[in-house]
Amino acid sequence: MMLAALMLVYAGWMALCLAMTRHQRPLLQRELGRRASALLRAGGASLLLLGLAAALCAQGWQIGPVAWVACLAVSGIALVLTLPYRPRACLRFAGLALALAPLLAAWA
Amino acid sequence: MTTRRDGSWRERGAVLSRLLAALLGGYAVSALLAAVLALHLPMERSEAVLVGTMLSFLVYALAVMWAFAARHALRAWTGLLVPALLLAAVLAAPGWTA
Amino acid sequence: MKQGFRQSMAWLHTWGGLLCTWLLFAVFFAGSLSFYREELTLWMQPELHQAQRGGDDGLAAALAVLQQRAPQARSWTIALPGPRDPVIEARWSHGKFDRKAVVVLDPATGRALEPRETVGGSFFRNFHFSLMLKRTGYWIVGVATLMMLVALITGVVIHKKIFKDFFTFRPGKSRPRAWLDVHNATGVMALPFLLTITYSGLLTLAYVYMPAGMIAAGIDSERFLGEISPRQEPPEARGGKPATLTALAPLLEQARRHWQGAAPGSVTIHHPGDIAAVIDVARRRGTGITARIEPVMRFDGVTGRLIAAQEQSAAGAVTYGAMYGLHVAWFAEPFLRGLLFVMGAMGCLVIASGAVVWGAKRREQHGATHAAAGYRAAESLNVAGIAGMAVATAVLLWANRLLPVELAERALAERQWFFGAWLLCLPHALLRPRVAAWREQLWLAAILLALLPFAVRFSGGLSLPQALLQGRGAVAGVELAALAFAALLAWAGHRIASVKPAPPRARRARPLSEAAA
Repeated sequence: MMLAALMLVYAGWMALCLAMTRHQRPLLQRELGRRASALLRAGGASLLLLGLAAALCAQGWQIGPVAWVACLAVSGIALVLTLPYRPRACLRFAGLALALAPLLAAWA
Repeated sequence: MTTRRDGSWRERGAVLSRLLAALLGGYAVSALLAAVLALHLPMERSEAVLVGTMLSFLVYALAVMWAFAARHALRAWTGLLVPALLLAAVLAAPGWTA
Repeated sequence: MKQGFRQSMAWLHTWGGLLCTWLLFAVFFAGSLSFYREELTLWMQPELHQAQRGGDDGLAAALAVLQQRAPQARSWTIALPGPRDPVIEARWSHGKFDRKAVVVLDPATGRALEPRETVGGSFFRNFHFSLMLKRTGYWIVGVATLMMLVALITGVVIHKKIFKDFFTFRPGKSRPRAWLDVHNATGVMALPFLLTITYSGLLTLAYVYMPAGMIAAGIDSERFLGEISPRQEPPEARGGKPATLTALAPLLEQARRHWQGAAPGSVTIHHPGDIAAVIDVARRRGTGITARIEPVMRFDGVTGRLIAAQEQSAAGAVTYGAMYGLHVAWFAEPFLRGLLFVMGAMGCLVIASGAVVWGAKRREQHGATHAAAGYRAAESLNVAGIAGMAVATAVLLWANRLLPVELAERALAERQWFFGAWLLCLPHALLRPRVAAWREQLWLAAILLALLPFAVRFSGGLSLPQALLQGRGAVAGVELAALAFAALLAWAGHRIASVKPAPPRARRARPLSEAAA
């Protein structure tokens, strides 16, 4: 379940990143419209919140928020430090993470 | 970058003065605040001590920032000493101690 | 300081941070390792590697040992094995704390084990708040920690584009710019962790740093700490008549039920063997987020009747307990512990990258040829403080394996090896050219760590393949982490070796405050 939270949060960061014009060209080779960006922003924020829900399920009300903040920091820095070197791989990994998250949540 | 590259003695003295204000003046303010809160917060004594002590560190950090944000070193000092004196007065005021 | 708030904050951030860089790096480095204190301690005692939990967790054996070794003791304390600590510890006390008054047992067999004398993982914990200088060290670390708190707040103030630059890292740009990106991104991502760990760090030693409130209220530090933890009143005096101790297992079971399934962590028996015997059962630490305020249940030692169940519920004490708990993270299960360790490493990265930005800016402004003595010294301190720390840690782990077990003052000798190695890194960094110093120290640490799994040949205990096969996560984890760090350090040394010194620039770069914002 914690792994699911980590995956959700990573995908959430990636969506938020994609919503920013400056990151769209290296990742998608084109710029997205306003609507698409807004959608991505909303989707990213929801994924982060979904990650919080997973962390709360896994660790309870006391430790869950701490675990969520830890997921935010670790997945965030992993994304930032790899993004300029392997943008496409990051994007693929975010997709994979999104697909894996429900499986991981069901498994654990 | 106040001293930029000149690093005149005047500037250095001002920086040192601010540093002292930050560390000593800041400590005085936060310690006095911890003491005042410990005595006057309307809660159980041991609880008041804890709350006052926990808050004092945040005040200390802000005091350090003030010492370097103030327009001149003198202002940094007065900005710390005035609240310190006020707190000391509260602490010393007879009959106020619970 | 006439240039306005943001610029004066930038100045404070830069110079205040730089002044404390090496100290803060050491504190964060050792503090991060402290998240694995118990695992490191176990690894450093190969004699305990085979111990296993089982049956009644060795309670009967512990009582038998205590009865035999210290029947007249004032109190016995039995620390029960937990998920991170496989052995059972039986301590006794005649009133004063005695480090040697302890027997370590294998819970499964009840056999007494003889672990080597070692600083253990506690070395890093103690070093990170005292620098092994006792009170003086507390204060030095305290001032640096306050500076860290100030640097975090000023860092937020001077960062103009927190949201716009949230995911920005441009390794292709100039070196100061790229490192500044790393510094900013890591700092922003880890900000909640950094603020919490820094502030709670100050609070853990609040009674040392800020006794004013205690003094004003007429409370001494003993009482301050006592009122936080739900510590019981000392039991009544000895009765003088002998009596048989009640069975412990039912009491532990009762405590477990009372705490809704949370396990007991230790049992203290006051006046063992006496008619006035009293038994305190404390909950295992790390059950909730709070620390230092573990609930205690007190039983009559002869009849087994419950005397009192103490729980701390005052809001201030619980808040303090939660801050303390967040700092020591006893609550963290392995996955979360791993994340916490990574965040600790991010803290190290924030601090180190800050120093690198400063150095790179200097070189860009003045050119590589301009090497004023002060800057040269600062650069050398960077090498010794960052790479040297890794060397010293690797040396400590090796000393633990190589020093003869029967050596007198063995723990002290281990410490001396750590500090000796660290100290030697400084002249090396001063004498060698900058890049060579980095490379050599990083590679030395990498080699020492890479070879660490072979050290088992000199000490006994579980080898890495054995530990993996038997599923001993702590032992295997330490060695796998050593290998991972070896790879990381070797890569870092390789990268730094391939860096060409930047060509001196004629034009003066933008002032640092502007770039830092």
